[in-house]
Amino acid sequence: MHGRLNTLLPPALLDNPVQAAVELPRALITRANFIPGVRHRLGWRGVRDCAKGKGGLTAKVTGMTGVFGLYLLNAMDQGGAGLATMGIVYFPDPEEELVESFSIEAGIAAQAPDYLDRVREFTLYDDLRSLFTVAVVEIHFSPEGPGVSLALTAPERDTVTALDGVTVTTQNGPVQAVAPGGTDQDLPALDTALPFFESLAASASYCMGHGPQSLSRSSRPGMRRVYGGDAGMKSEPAPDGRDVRFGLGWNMAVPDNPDMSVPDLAWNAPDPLPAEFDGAPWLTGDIPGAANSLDKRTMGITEKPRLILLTGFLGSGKTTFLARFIEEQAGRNGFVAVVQNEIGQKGLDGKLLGQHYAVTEVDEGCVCCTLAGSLRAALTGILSEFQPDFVVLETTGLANPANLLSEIADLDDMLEFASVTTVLDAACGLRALTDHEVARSQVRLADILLLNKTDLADGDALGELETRIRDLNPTADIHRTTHGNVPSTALYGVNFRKRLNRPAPFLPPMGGHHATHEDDSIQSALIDFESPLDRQSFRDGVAGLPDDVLRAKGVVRFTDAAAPEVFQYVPGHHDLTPAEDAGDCFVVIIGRNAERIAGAFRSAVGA
Amino acid sequence: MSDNMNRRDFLKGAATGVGVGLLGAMGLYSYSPARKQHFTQAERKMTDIGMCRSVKVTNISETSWFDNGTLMGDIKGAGGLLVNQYDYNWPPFGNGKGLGKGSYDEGIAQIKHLLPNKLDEAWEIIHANSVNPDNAGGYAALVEVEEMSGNKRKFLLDVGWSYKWCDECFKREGIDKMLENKEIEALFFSHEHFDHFWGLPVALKYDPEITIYIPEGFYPEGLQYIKDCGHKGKLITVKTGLNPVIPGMASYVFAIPIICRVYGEQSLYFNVAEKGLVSVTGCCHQGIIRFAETAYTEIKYENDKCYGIYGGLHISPFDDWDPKYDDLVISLGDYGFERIGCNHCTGVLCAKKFITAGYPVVEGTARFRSKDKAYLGNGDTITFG
Repeated sequence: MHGRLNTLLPPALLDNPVQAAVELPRALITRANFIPGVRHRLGWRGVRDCAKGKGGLTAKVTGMTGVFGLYLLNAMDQGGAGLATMGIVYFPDPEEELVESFSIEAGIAAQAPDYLDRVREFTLYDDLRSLFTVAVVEIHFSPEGPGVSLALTAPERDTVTALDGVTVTTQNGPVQAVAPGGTDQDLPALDTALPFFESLAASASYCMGHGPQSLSRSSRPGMRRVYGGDAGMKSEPAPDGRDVRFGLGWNMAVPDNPDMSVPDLAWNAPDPLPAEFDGAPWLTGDIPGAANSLDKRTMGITEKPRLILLTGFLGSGKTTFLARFIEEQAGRNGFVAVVQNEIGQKGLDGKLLGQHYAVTEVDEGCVCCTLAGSLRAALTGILSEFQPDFVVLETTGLANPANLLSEIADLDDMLEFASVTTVLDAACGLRALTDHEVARSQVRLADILLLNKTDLADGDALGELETRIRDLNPTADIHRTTHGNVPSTALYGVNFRKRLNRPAPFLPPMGGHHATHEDDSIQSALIDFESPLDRQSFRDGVAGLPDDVLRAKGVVRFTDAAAPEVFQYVPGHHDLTPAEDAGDCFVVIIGRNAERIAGAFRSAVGA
Repeated sequence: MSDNMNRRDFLKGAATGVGVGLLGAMGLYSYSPARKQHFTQAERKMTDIGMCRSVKVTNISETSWFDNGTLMGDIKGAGGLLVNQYDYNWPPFGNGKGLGKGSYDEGIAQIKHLLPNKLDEAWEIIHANSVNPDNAGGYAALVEVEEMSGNKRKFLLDVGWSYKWCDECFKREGIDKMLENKEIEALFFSHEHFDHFWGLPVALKYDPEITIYIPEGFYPEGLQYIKDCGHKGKLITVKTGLNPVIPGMASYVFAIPIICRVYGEQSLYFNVAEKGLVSVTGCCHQGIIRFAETAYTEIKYENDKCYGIYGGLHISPFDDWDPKYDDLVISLGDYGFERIGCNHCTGVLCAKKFITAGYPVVEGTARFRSKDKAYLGNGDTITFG
């Protein structure tokens, strides 16, 4: 115990109990947040120091969309032990339902455009603290032991009555938002504060290496606030309400609070912990696997990284999109590994992204022709070192992704193929598509098409380009972007489970007759499925697809499963993953002689 | 409110339509006792620390370690970021028992008799007993302050980590001679971390009597190490807060928990005549915004202007970029620094983002194993004023 606290705070601070109590929450949270695996397990989703003003911190916690804040109220010596009292604020997300439980004034503050900016430095703003404080936490530090206890006090419901009502002036005139004598606020304060307190307590257990050895819960009759009329603001008994104080102690009992006269629960180790706390996040300091490492495998996460093949003609904005994608994933605790190959500007982009973002460059010339073997070698290194969630294979702008698909299929033991994402320059794209077969191939094979730099193209040109794209690829999702800026969930769905786009009905399936496709005779053909398929027949049909098929994909429904599945095929490999939602079932076949192959496939699967 | 309109939609309308503050009835906050119970807003203390003419920083070494992967591997393997740094079995405290099984006492016992003068001999022992000894580098800088009279005064900020590497760097920059000649009047430790502190015998070899300033929060091993290295001069523990040193120069100790069981960081502030505030940091674990804000609230400086910053800014030390760091990049712009020299734990990616953001980053030469010109690297200098 002493050793653990000693790791949290230096001797000079431990000798000063009051200062130790003040510093403890920040030390607990900071220490717990050093290690991503631990941070995640303990429930933290981000912590930020409020650098301005009198200090404090904001944090996001699992399961709550808003932002918590913690700020110091006061600190004192209690018979040689230190006591710090801090306010817990909860700033709901403006769209969160809980906003409606706060007062009208709080709600208006939450909808203001500068709300989140103010939240970041909430200790500068009296009104935010006053309107959004939900609970108080006491931190006790006893040099005897030494011991630590944390106690949360909050009303079960924090209600505020507006005697005069609340009238809000709007553009349409005054609106009575709360009737006279009505309830301005009715907030489940205890439940709102609890997730933060539990993460704090879990961090204490983690930092001290063991769970709490004492627990207490007590209550007192609650009060409500009433304002307006001649009264100003006053507190009065709330007949149905209770204030609850919930405390946990490590190497010390939670000190009593004489105001809390109704004992509810007292537990001390080694008595069995009441069953209602089964599964509480603060039960133990032991975080198996996650404690020492960033290694996901030790946390039991074994799923394969998802592969995005990123293509796009020279200068289309692939790297910009990639940089944004990486940062977005990092914000979600996702880790992206990048394998790059660039002709002419070898290594440059890798450095721009930072070498330690697991960027491996395959410097073997053009990625599409000399990749064999080197890609596996590069990936083996990168996967063993970093355990990424995503691997992005960024091809040179001159690469034809068609040549890569079979290579990728050979990597299915290491990766789950997710998407061919093609970036196209909205201003120069049409010319590239006219002049370069590679550019056309990139578009044809795309699952996701980012029409980038749309700010540089006029509306007519964009329309013309989209028509041309649709001509080449009737199925890809097209997203108009500037600076590659589009949320990855819009592209790939939650957990990369977005349903494939159904080809637009007014576009005929492509055939070899189309003049612009004759140069390499790659076509696509669409097969609709009216009824569910037999899984084995489908597998047989897939196994029988000839070498001419470069790519096939679609949504299929099987007789043995209720939910539709996304079908992805590249030569030598296919997989079926759950589709995010239901819809039409179809398969698109891309390659030479697509129509003929589609006909044979349709017969083979019995559609 | 009509029943079919939820409060959020209504509130949004109220907020965007007319702004806040047009409540017909006095609102909750207006009545709240908190209204009167104002937090003391951070009042500017404007402590006068005097003035100097210029500050020149010579980067002796910013490469604290040479390979992130090796360092992180060691940290992971030893039990994580909370492990006491003296237990990793890194140089100079190798006891031959392997990663995570080190001990200050066992390590120092093997070399104590050789400190501070027989460092080559000590390094041989260390090299044989420590984990990844060749990955150790160090962070150290020479700070030269020109007083208003034209008189120049020299200080060291940190002394690096590896005895071998630091001795090479000290010699390369002529620090050895300056110490021998007693030209350097004091050594400031930014914090107790291995890469800033453990190279201490290299400095003491040349001047065992140098005055040392450490921030409050050093652990017993660190305090003992200063003795065991053969320090014979004054040791000053600087309390949390502002500590004027000479006219125009102050240090500031931030109480802040840091990885590998370290606590507290000391940074340097300078008030440069006609220019403004210059900040020099070791790692800036307190965060650049807190660092700048503290200057703003604590110190009076020329033109009320943040002029320059040098050092490790601790934004993405392992280049593990996180979107929150973009906030920091943007926020730094608020302070209007005119000269930025960054390295070490700033993260190359961050330095490049500063450059992309158009900040006046003074680039280096990427010599002596510094990785990138975006860094003011080993052997590079920067002058403020």
